[in-house]
Amino acid sequence: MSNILNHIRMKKITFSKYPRNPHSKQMKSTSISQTKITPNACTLLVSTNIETITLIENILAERGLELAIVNDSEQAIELALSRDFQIIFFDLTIKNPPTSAIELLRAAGYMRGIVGLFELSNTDYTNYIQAGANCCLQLNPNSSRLISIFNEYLDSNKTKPRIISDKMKAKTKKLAKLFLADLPNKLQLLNNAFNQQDWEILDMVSHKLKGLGGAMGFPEITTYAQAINSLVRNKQFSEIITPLDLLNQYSQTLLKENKN
Amino acid sequence: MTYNFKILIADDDREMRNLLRGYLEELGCHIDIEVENGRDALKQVALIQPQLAFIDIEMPIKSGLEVLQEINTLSPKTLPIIVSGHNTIANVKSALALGAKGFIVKPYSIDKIQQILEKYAG
Repeated sequence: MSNILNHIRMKKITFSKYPRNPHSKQMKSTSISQTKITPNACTLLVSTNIETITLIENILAERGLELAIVNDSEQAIELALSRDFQIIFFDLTIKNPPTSAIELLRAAGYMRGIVGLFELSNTDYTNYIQAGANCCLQLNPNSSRLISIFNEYLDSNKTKPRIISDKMKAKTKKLAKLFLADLPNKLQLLNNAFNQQDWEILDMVSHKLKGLGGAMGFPEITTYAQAINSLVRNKQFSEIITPLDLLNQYSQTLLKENKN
Repeated sequence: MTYNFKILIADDDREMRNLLRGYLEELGCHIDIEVENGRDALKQVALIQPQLAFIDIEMPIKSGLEVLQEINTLSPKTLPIIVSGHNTIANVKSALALGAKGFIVKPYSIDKIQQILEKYAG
């Protein structure tokens, strides 16, 4: 099974929770290598340390909030630029310390919270503050500082849904309607291009759909189009049929639902 | 809050331009000009000297990255913000190395646009 199709499935799966509770006072270095990307997470943790993951996940769970987890800085940048996180925790003990990732995120326009987590009190974290982290703190299950950071970033108005004006709602609705009206044309172009093995057109149209789908309120279209686009660009042509079928099926249902 | 920026949008996709315009207007901005290719983007940048230019990477005639290479000479005060469907590290690094002052990944939310405005409004 290709990575792309796994990626499609990943987005739909709610991952099983990590074992809860081990609130040991001494942070051990149990390392894991797993990513967990839930659609509603407002916090991103970059860590491979199971105790760190469990601790932060538990604090968020108590507030009814979800956590997204990645295990390296590059994944963190890609995800942070694609999603709306209110706060990102970088475990400073990960394999490649994330100074440049923090700098890159700030340069790219990520303006929300960035916190560095470390294990030893004598860690020199000046570099992380200079790179753009808001603060660094020693990870300790009883840390009141950690709780106050969550209070600062997650209990503010920032996590409440944005109030959209009626004018914008009407405009978005109109744009989504126009998008759906033209969707059959785009699908036809996509299917014709696939049947005629015109990879250039397939690349172009899937790229457009990838950007437009989610923006118009249909994230599934972005997921399937992204898979197609990635397969075209990696020349894995024989695998395109699966996400293309999924896109066709989803779009037909969507168009049927929105017929009136 | 309203933002008093002179703004240019460059994207070959009309639907994406309309959406970005909608978001920016919702955030209290006025859009001064929209163009659909890199050549026209540079022409208009030289002419109106916008403070912010939202530039798609994949555009006909001249790409967003080619626009970045020339924009600073034509209008040093313009802050170019790249908009792209590709969030790979290589893409982000290339854009920032060429002088982009922000990188927004499609599909984006109104919050991403607001973060850019907040960054440069202060």
